[in-house]
Amino acid sequence: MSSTEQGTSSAAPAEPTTAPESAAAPEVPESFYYVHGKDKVVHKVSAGALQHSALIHGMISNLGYTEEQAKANPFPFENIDGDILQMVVDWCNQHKGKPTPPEDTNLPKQKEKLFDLVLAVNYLEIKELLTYCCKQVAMMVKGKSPEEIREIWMIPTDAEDEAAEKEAKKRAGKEAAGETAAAAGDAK
Amino acid sequence: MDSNEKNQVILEKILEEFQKLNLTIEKSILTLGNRLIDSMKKPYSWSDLPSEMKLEVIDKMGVLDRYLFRCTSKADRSLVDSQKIDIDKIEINVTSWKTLIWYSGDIDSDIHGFRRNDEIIIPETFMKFLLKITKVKEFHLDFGRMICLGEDHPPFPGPYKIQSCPVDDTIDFCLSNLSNGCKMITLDADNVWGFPEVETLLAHPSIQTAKLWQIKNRDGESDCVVPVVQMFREKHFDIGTTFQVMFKHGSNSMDNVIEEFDFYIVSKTENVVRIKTEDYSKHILLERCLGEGSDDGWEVEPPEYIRLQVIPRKLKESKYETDHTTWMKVLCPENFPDPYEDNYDDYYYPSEDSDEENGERAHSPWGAD
Repeated sequence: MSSTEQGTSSAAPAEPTTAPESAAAPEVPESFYYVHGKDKVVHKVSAGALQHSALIHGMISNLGYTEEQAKANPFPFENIDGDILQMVVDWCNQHKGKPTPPEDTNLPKQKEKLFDLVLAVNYLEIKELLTYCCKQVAMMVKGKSPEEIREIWMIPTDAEDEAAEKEAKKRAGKEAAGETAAAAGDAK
Repeated sequence: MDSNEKNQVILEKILEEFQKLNLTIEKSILTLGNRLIDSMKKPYSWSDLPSEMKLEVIDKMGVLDRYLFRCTSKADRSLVDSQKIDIDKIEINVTSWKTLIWYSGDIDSDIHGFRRNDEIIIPETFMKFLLKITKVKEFHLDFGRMICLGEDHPPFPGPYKIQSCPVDDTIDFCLSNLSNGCKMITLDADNVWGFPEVETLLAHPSIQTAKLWQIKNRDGESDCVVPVVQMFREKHFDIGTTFQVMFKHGSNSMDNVIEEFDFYIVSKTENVVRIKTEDYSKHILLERCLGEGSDDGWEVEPPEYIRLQVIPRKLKESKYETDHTTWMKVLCPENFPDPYEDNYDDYYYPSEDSDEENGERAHSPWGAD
C-alpha cells in the first residue's frame, strides 16, 4: 500500500485569547487522519482540512480515533476514484481554516471529470466545493445551443431515450416470460 | 502422537494454508477485475447525476441558458420548469417591428430583441418560459416606446416561434403567464388602439394578487376606476393593495365613483373620497391629482392621476399623505423629471431599518399589513 502525505504539518491557528502572551497555552499539535479511494492510495489529511466535509467530520466526531488508530484504519471511499479524491483532498488543504472565496480559481479544469467530482463532493458533503462545482458545470453550457449542450453533457435525444426505454421494456418482458416458463417447468 | 497423526496434522495445516493462499489469489483476481472494469468505464455524464444535483446546477444557470437547456430533452424539461428564479424586473416593449424583452435580477440580467417587419410579434415560447419560470417583483409592459437595440447585439440563439398577435392578446398572454404575487405591474396604454377593458384585466389572478398595479396614459373614454372600486369593495384584499391610473387628458372617473357608490361613501372632499367595503375593518381611499397641462398651445385637459388604496377603517384623515408626487412619479416617472435622484423602491419596499429610523413605515401611514 503506497502512501502520499497530502496534509500539511503546520499547526492549527491558535485560538484568540485575552490572557497575556507569557501565559499563553502551548499550541496543540494538529491531528491527522487518513483516507483512501478506489485506488487504495492513502492520503494524510489534517483534521482542519477535513472539516470541510460534513461526512468525514461526522465520522471523526463519532469514532474518537487516536492518531495511531486513524493511521491503522484509513477511511475507505471505494466509490471515489483515486484522482478525484486527490482533487478533493487538495481543495480541502488549500482552503483549510480560510473563508471560502466567492469565486474559486483552483477548481479542476478537466471537463470530463467534473461530473465525477460533483458526485464525489456530494457524497462527502462538502457544501462550498459542491456550489463551485455546480457553477462550473453550469458554465460549461453558457450561451450554447440545445444541440451543443446535448453534445457537451452527453444527453440522449428524445428519440434515443424512447428507443432505450422500448428496448428495456422488451428485455424485461422476455425475462419475465423466461421466469414464468422456468417456474412452470419446476412445477411439473 | 504417532507418525501418522503427525502427518495428518501437517497435511491439515498445509491444506489450510493453501486454502488461505487460494482465497488471497481469488481476491486479487477480483480486485484486478474490478479495477479493469473501472478503467474501462466512461466518465460520468449529466444523466448520472441525481435529480437534486441537477437542480443545484440548474439553479446556477441564467434564464436564457435554462430555456435553451430545456429544449434538449423531455426528461429535463420538467426539472427546469420546477426551479423558479427570482427576478427584480421584467420590461417588455412591443412595437410594430420588434419585441424587446429586458429582465434583471441577482442571478441574471439580459436584453433580447425579436424583429419582424410590419407585424406585432411575440416570441411566444421564450416569453412564456420567462414569465412562468420567474418570480418577478416588477412587471412592465408597453407598446411603441422605441428602445434602440444596437446592430451589434448578438442574435437570440434559441428556437422560438414568432407569432403575429394583436395588442389585447399580448396583454392577455403576459398577464395569464405572469406569476402571482407581483409587487408592481405596470401597463402602458400609450400608442395602443383597443386597450382591453379593465374587467378583462381584473379576471387575471396575476392582477388580483398584485400588491400594486397601474395603468398609465389611458384615455378617459372608458372608465376603469369604478370596476376596480367594485372589486376592492367586494373581495377581501390586503390592506395596502393599490391601483393607480393616469388618464392622459382627464376623465369623469371621480364623478362616476361618487355616483355609483354614493350609499357607501364615508367622507368626500374635492379630490379625496373614502368608501366602505364589505369587510368592516377596511375602507377604500380614492385620491385624485391633476398634472400640468401641455404648453404647446393646444387646449387639452391636463393629465389626471387617480390612486385607490385599501386602508384600515381606523386610519384617521390626519394621517393621509399630503405629498402626492411620490406615487404619481411611480406611475409616470417620465412626467416628473427629477432634479434630485429619488429611489421609489424605498417608497414601496422600505428597508427593515427604515421603520426604526422613522418610527413607522416610510410612507405608509397604517404601518405593515
